[in-house]
Amino acid sequence: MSTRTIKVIKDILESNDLIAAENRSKFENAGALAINIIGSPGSGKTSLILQTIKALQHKKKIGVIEGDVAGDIDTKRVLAGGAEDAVQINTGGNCHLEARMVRQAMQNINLNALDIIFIENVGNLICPNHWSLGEAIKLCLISVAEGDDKPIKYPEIFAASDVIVLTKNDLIAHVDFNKEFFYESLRALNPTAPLLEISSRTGDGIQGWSGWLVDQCAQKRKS
Amino acid sequence: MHEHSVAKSLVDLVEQEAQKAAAKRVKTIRLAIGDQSHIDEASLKMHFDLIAAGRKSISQGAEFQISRTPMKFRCDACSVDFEIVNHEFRCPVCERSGRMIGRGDELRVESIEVMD
Repeated sequence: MSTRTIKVIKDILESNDLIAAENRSKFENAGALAINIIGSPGSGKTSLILQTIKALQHKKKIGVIEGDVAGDIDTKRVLAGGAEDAVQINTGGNCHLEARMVRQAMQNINLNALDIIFIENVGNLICPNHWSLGEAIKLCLISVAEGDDKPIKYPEIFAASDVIVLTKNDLIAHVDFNKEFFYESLRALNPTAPLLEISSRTGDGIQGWSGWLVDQCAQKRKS
Repeated sequence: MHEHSVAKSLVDLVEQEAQKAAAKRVKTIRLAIGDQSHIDEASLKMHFDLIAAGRKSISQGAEFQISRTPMKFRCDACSVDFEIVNHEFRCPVCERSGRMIGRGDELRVESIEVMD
């Protein structure tokens, strides 16, 4: 038997990336700005979505694809909170969303009726980063309650995100969160991504965040 | 946990490439895996072996050769390139914060060695 070497040089997750590219085209053709929200369990991903829907009521039509290991609590919450449309993905144990799951969910949502679509990933700062879903914006959500060392512990998600939202800012006086330390490590990893500080509970910073989002919609339309 | 999804994609990709080259069996898979891709090599191999065996794939029994890539930083003040030191991104010379120049997030098949 003879052996030979075949050059490949391909990303292992290439098959996911190809489906993600199809999803991206569909989002873009429908004029819906897709945002992949990645954050720890309990960081406040659904609360951010709910506050955004409230802030942009009558201005932007917002849809949500909810990713959870189990249950449809979040889908019910965002629909009750005024989402134009929402669909639940249950991963059945998988720790991240994949492009094929989002492709399937997209069949059950009228993208043409939406300006913005949030894709709430499974709560996890590690693997969701590796599976592109076809989003226009990758958003990393971190709460002050999780600690200022998260960029050091999970550098890749902070390096790869297009925007970082720091939430639960109202709790800063009650937790040991050193903003200077957080900013320093974050900026070493990602010097350019916008960082927005908010509190979904008090509404602090939500105006700035939703204004940023509206700007992104406008830029998307122009490009 | 996520190694299973990665392993499944890896079996698909390797099978596809080997079949394209009309190979009978895959002997070795050369992989580039970044430290920040959060892949446990032993777990990846275990899932790969299980999936390949389940499918009676031509990649069954293939060995992995893995080259790891770290996350890299540069200190512009000292012109020094460095890797993460003690979980921080500070220059080992001046202790100023560095600037990331390499993510170390590779998850790539470089080549496969096949038998005819």
